[in-house]
Amino acid sequence: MSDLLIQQFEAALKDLVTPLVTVESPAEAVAAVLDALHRREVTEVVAWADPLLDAIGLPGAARQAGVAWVAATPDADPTELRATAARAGAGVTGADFAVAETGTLALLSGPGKPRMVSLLPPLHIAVVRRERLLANQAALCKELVRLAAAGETPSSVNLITGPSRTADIEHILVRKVHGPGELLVILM
Amino acid sequence: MSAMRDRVQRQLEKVSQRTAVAKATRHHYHTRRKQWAKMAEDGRLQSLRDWVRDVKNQALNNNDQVLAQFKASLEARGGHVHFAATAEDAVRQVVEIATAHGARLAVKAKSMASEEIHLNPALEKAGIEPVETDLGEYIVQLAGQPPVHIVGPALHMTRYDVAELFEEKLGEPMSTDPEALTAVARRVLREKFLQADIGITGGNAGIAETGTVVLFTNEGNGRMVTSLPRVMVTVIGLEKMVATWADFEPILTLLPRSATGQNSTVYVSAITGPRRPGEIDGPEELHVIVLDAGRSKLLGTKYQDALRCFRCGACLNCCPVFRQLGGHAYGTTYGGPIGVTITPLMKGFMEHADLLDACSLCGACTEACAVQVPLHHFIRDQKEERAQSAYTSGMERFLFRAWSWAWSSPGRYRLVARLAKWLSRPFTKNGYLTWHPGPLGAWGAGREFPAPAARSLRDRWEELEREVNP
Repeated sequence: MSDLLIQQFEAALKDLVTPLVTVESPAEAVAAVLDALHRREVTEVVAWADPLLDAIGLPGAARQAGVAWVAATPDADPTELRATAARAGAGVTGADFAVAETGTLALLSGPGKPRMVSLLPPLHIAVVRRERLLANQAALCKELVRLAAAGETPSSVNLITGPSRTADIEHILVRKVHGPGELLVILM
Repeated sequence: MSAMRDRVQRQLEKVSQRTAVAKATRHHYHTRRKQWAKMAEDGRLQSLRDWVRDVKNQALNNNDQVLAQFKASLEARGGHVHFAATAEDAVRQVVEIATAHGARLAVKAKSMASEEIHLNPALEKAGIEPVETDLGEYIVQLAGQPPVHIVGPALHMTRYDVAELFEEKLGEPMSTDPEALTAVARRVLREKFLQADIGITGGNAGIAETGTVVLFTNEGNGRMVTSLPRVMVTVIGLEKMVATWADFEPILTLLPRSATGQNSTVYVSAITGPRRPGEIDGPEELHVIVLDAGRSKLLGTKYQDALRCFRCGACLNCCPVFRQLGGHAYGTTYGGPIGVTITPLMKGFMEHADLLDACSLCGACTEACAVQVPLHHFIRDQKEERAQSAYTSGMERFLFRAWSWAWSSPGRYRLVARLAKWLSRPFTKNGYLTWHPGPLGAWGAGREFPAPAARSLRDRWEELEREVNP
């Protein structure tokens, strides 16, 4: 993974007022997430039930820090989970791909990876592995074409490029319309 | 006076709206130009435009197969596909689906197709409350107006207009801060998202290979509408389909860059069928209504290329007529050059032929069109068809024939010029006409019409020639 690609990713995210934290170890990633939660006084989190998040020990560390961590496991009660997501101060997900050129994250839905986690809370934190960082939209499209060819297109592909925004009133840019007003990307 | 002229007259008087439209369209025009310049610098602007043109041409040339494949792919994933020949069919299908589920509240993501078929009044009549959730659409819905622009539905309103509207309709304390106004919409609409029984969307693209519907949004309302309600219904024009994901790539790249000038909209959501086993959100039931409503009339004709349009709005933002008037003057769902081009073709020529007057054939739209629709050529051709049809009055045709006869021979031209000079003499003051007869009346209302020169160029030619070639 070239540093140039990361620099490009960071610059693209900066234009979208989205901070990028590059970390070298799982411990650093956990610390970065806990720090972001702590600074915003978030006490309840809804998260993907994602092997990556489990592998770095994020849920356990968060609970130890006093954060109510609700993982969206496939057997979770949908109504209850939705209520949690609507109430939670942050949603934590992985990302299946990221695009350096545009600062885009690609989230594929599936069991344990519901759409509402990156949508309902006011803050969305995405943990991305470095090898998932692609150069440009063309490279991302190759992945989507590959999924389609394999018959593995998920029920929803969400490409996320920065926090929710609008310019519908006098084309003045306002963030946090319906989706999260803040996005934080952690590259590991 | 034609209906179009009548609407124009009314629109001309709305000064605040016109100022807002001019400002917003200029803004969008320049952001798009900047983004296009960047793509041109990277050497990929023209190849991207060609690429989209080609994939859309291919899908249109094989429209039957592409639609059949879309249906088969989506049904294999548990979705339902309906074809709607007319707007009425589409409305009936949506209402039927909604009532079958006992829906009381429908949240809607911005959809020009649903504007086109006038879905909201029909839902209301069936006892279902339709709530627009794109901020701009929500604003115009509260104001009881149709969207003024296909990308910026409320760009004719100022923050003061919106503040008054929210105070009146929502009982909110007056604030003119766009951020505060947006927060109000977030709060009010969040409740609606969580309560809605059904989500209704349009589609920016359909991918036949997998039966996928793609939405480009910035606010996240498209995601809400397709993630939370139990039932999702998409109304999508048949021309929005492409065959494969590979064909979708140039649309993903070019559409946002041509619409708002962003590299990508904040959200691009590609929905492929209802939720699958083990998933806890997303619609349990998904319907796609493929809308014809006059589109197929263009297939196989020279106007088929107009169906390549992916509704980026670039032609509206550069159009001198649209920039003066905004979309309401057109009285149709699609305003601006694309609306002038497709509305008479799709919705009935005689009924909508007066739209063709909203074009000066300057060609700015053709230059701006991302998918290279020869818009002003298509408008010119339709003007020609109109002139040859019963639409044009016998008197007008006679006058133009007489004019053409007079000006096609040097002798007759000279005679007419001399006549005009003599006849205008009593009405000439300081070199301008003081009286504007017939069709010059409207023109002269705000401007001076220069009188014929005392000595015409032709009269002066002999001495001028000596000056040029001494």
